[in-house]
Amino acid sequence: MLLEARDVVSGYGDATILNGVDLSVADDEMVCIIGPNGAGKSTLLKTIVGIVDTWEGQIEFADEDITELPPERVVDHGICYVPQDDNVFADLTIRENLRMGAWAAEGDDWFDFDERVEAVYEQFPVLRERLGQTAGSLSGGQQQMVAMATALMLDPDLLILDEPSAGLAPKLIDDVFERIAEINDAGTPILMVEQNARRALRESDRGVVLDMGENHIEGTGGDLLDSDEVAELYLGAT
Amino acid sequence: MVLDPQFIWNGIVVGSIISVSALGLTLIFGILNFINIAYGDYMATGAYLAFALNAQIGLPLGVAIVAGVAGMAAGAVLIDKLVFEHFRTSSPVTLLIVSIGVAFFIRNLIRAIWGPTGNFYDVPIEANPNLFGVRYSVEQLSIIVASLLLLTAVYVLLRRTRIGIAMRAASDDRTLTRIRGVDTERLVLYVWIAGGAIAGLGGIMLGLDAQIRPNMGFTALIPIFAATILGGIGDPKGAVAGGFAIGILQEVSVVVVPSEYKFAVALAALIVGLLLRPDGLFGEATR
Ligand SMILES: Nc1ncnc2c1ncn2[C@@H]1O[C@H](COP(=O)(O)OP(=O)(O)OP(=O)(O)O)[C@@H](O)[C@H]1O
Ligand SMILES: [Mg+2]
Repeated sequence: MLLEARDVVSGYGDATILNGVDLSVADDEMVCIIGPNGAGKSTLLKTIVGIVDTWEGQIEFADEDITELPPERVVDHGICYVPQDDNVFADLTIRENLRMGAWAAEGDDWFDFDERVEAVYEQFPVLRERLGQTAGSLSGGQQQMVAMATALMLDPDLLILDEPSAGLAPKLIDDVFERIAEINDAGTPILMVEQNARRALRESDRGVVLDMGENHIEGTGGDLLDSDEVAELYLGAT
Repeated sequence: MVLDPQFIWNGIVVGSIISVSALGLTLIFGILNFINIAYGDYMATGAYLAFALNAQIGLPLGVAIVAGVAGMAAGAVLIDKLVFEHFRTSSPVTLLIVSIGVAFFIRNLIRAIWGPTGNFYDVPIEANPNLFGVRYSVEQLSIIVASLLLLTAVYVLLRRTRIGIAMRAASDDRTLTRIRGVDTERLVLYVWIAGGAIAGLGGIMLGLDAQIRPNMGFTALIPIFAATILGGIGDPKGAVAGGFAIGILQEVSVVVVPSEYKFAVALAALIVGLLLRPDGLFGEATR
């Protein structure tokens, strides 16, 4: 397994949010976490990237223990994360945002900023015309593009997305999912949380249902979509 | 009524000092998120360090200034290690109160070492030259030039360098900055160095323009805070614009209000400014 989290317990202050969660992502895989509001989905992602401390359990990435690492060290392992909210630097221009995305690699031999920016523009052409604009002046959809582009600057070994389609107009949602599928097809493993569960499960190799800080059901995207229990409890009526 | 250009000139000089000082304060706030009341006393410390080296030991003023600025940069880092670092996760209010304690400590230390009376740098006393009816001094010209150089340097730092962009990023969103791989504690160190150096320079400028007194920085805090807040706290270019606005307004106001009320003018400008633009001069809408 590329990412392997075992029995993870974490939370905020006195409040335990995750009660022993297991999660894994294999090479090339796209895994989607679904579950009701407040289930702890974002908390799980934050625990993996080190924003929230792991109280118990273990998190391994590419056979290395990353359980105790702070966020600024996790990125060195090739894990890039796009938070649910506040995922761009509003006061910085798009180019500066991309520069921040490249922080961990700048100065490395393999890394060529301009080349990487070009690659990212190929994926997100809208950004090209807006280089000098501050991210805060963009629409929600464009900000989401900037956030993803920033996280892709390092050509990550694992891309973690927290609700990439939240708050977007339907047409843009298609756009975002298309981009995510492209990124995964190009070989980047993806772990994402989505409210737009049906759509996300259809695109994913595997789905995980998280509720009350515990794993509930796990299976291929198709299995979860077909399951009556999942449909009733977590997907809502259609 | 014709406005005497002398007041405008004075305003530019004072505005330069306020701008520089406000810039340092706002940089510190941007990353550390608290209002450092001791900042005024950092300014005084810089002024006194340069005074000791120049007037007491007899080094040339230029050398004393560089050493005073460097000394205060080191001092700011030291105070962080001794005091502020232990309150990193405390609320801004706690930090504000802690900084009041630091302020009192520094001011009394200065008083104990150098006494309560005013002092001057050892500068040659010459008749001030006069240009188009404006009297100016070499010190004033140097203050303006130095502040323009400093403001440009900080602008380039914040806009063009990797560290500077990361500083702006951290002042925008510290967690996201860490997610991108930045060791923000290291940025904090750089910001104390820059903020301390700028405070020291601001204090020396203030001492050159007027007198070196133990409470010189503390009393300058009102217009500096006014400039910082008017500019939108944490926004460097706002602090600079606010600094010149407050400085010029304050000096020109002497025409209509007695000069003891200068600071009231700064406060009034702050209140009116905040009513008109609650997010500061360059608040959300224009950024
Ligand atoms: N910073 C925080 N401090 C304290 N409690 C928090 C914090 N962030 C989240 N929580 C609490 O933790 C629980 C799980 O929140 P989390 O954000 O992980 O849920 P989620 O599954 O991502 O929900 P959503 O679908 O709304 O994004 C919630 O009860 C929430 O109130
Ligand atoms: Mg969430």
